Amino acid sequence: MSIDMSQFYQVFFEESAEHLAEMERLLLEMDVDNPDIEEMNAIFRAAHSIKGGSGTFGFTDMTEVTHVLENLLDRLRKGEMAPRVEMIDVFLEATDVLKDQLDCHVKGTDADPAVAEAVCEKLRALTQDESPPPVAETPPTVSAEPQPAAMAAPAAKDNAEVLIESSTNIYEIVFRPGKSFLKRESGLANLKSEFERIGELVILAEPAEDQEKKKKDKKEKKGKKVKPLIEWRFQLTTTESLEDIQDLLSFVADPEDFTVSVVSSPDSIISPPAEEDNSFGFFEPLPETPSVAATAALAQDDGYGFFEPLPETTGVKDSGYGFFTDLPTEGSSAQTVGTDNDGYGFFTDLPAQTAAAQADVTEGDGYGFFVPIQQPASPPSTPVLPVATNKAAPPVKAKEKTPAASTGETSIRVGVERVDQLINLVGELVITQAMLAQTASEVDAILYESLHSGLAQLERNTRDLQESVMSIRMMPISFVFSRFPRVVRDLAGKLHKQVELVTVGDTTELDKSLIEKIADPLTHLVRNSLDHGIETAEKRIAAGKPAKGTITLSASNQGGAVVIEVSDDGAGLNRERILSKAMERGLNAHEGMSDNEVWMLIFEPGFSTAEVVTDVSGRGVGMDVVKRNITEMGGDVQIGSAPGVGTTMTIRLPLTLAILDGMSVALGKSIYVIPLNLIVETLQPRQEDLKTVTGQGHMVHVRGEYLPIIALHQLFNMPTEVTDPCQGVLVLIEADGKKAALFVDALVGQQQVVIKSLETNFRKVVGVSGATIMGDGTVALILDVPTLIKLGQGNI
Amino acid sequence: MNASSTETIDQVSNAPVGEYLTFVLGSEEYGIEILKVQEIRGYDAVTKIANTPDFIKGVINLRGTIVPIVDLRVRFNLGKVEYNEFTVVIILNLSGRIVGIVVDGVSDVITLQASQVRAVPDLVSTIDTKYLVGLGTVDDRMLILVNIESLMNSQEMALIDSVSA
Repeated sequence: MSIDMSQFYQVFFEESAEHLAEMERLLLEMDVDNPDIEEMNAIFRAAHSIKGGSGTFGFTDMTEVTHVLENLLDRLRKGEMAPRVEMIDVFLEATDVLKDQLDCHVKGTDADPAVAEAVCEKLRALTQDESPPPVAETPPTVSAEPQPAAMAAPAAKDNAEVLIESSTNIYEIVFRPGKSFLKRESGLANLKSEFERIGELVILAEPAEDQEKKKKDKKEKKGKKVKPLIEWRFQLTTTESLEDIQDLLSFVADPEDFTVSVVSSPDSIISPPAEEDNSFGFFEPLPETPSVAATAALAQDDGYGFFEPLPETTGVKDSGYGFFTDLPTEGSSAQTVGTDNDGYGFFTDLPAQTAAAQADVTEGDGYGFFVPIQQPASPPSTPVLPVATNKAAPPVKAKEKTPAASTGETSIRVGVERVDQLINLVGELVITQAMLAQTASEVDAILYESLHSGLAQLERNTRDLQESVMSIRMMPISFVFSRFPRVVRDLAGKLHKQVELVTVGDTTELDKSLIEKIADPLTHLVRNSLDHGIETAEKRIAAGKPAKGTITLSASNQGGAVVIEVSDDGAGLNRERILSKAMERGLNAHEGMSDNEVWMLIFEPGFSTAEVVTDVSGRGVGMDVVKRNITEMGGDVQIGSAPGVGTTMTIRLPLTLAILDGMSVALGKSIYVIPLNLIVETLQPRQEDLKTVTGQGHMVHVRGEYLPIIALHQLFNMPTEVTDPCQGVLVLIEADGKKAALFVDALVGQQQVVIKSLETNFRKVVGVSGATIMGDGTVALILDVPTLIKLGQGNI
Repeated sequence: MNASSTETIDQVSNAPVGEYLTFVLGSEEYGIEILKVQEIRGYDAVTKIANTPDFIKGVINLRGTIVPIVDLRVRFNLGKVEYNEFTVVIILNLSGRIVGIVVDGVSDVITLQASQVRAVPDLVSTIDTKYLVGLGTVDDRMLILVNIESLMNSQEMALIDSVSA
């Protein structure tokens, strides 16, 4: 029954990262003056899921931060406190801390506890800032005090008392595990979760060492595991038979290690050892209204809890806390108080109509659901408390229960290599289909009508299949865009500028590998726009613009490419300054350059026009890297700018890296593919445009420029009948800022090709970047344009 | 070079026993380890690759994989080099690297016992005798047993980058 928890780590990491991203997004969207209770709940749930998960996996540092975070969030979402801007700041800080901690766990290192402690301190300070509203009597200490206990105790180790229905079987299990069991970190947790699967678990006693160690830090806690003579006493309430329980236990431990006995009366368990050293609770005196049926609800740590209306129950568990607030209830009202496992409590004052209203408050490892407080002002749509007394989960609970399970219904995680394999196979299918179609075109269309219609059907189906398979790799660009609200917010604060970020076309899809690669260049551009583009509020007002600047991030599909634009309504680029700077830096610049050429200068290495170098931008590192990154992705970047109106950076990217937009050209009997994004234009030269230097060094004169002619048949030593450029075609190619005219026989057509590596079974071929399979099944080589240009200049 | 020659010596004692695919190049019969052979197919149109030795015919599309094709007849300078419907390409899988070789024809699969294998005498040939692991005798035929993997991975075949060779 021992499960290696580490196999689930990856899932936890991914989910936590998603939760953190979601939290951040929601926090940034939150309108402080008019908070949306649903959003607040969503943030809370995200935090809680992380807490549950980290507790389960023993990442106590994360549990600790989320716990404190939750405390404050909990009060906010219940309207006990009004959200303030500084809270959002601290929340964002906390999500950063959590991200760092998560990163550290991913890498297997330890995060700096001081940072976490600092943010916890801020959160606690905020939590205590405001006195609670009158109804929920929450002494500020409540939020803060449980910390030491909650921090040290992983969720799985908590004690909890559950008040149990008398109708079920109750067993007492004394468990004295052997050393081998104790050495397994997850053994006990597994056992507990097994118990909880079949019924309600109450830990009556834990080893003394365990209790003491709980207060110490995580490392020391590991040591306790090897101490002998540890005994747990569990109270298990379940519908399972004694045999079943023994069977279950024998999976986990030696039969000598445990004893199971039937407890006849459920009464015996309602004597919680409430005075455990790290437990505390406090109970407000209940108003002695005769008909009040005060319901104490307790939630148990790893799973669920349920509450029975008990006449006089004050159950408190160790590391959680609970408290009973007296309700200003009328005679028939019921009061429910739920406590949560390791840390926060929540209080629901039910506007219950019936006596002995029952409330179920569930709390679990990795999930929980929270009952929105019935506030006077809250809308009537606020969910009603689900009532449940056992494991039969109410729908709400099921939905919240396991994020993994719920995402499992809508998405699956599949390795990229599997998807790539699928894409390859479908590519094969398309080629086979094309070959079949070609063969079929040679037979009589009337005699073999059904063959033809079948093949036509096959063609449609394969095309659909290819599209669907390709779309697996596609992700919406919102994955990248979603990080920018935060970047802009932080940076705007730092630069004391007022900036609003607008994103357009979030759903535009892009290949996953490109999504990952575009993030950094985009961040550079956005930061640049913010730092250099958007002016300060005073300058903007003076220029007759709104004080708040706008940065627009937009993505759209244009043909086979994705166009991403970063535009700002700032001052625009300063032509004179760029030119003078470029000349100063010894760059190739002159007054006669067109605006576009001038703008492109900022992509030159070592170029920066910022008068003051800030820590945001201005060191001149970046823009050239941006350009290079984008070019590496097979894309290009362009700038449009108007003084006083703003600047727009346009990035054009291919949809995917696996597919290339290419121009096929013919040379003799071979077909070559030139990446379309590197082609400037194609032309058929006139004789008078062809120039030579010393009888060789062929050049072509194109609109005032003299471009070297690279004859592909000479470079590749391929026989061809076309040796006069006037008979063939010149393809103007550009790479690394250099242009050349590639002389080929003819243009064949423009098409998308799937890139295949030549090097898998062969070696690198100079001047060829890869290969692709054409529709007829033959192989065409993809030209390596930058190398060709160098080759043409004799530089290789 | 040293490493591969010691490897060859080892193989003189060990490798020659086993199943061999035999093929004909001109008038000579060659044998290669059957386990290196992935499939046998006809000769298709190849895509020529610029600036490569003439025995590298180019690359073909083998169900989506780009596979280089070497004409051993050109490489060994044997036989009339013709490409017709009888021209055979043996697709080899050499530790995951897929290469096709063009031969005049495939004969059969032969199991050789150690007693049937003779050492290769020192002689002059177009390929280094270190790639020959032995001479097999079956009735009156002589099989030239080639260590096809080290031959294909050798620098002389120009099939792989010199860095990794």
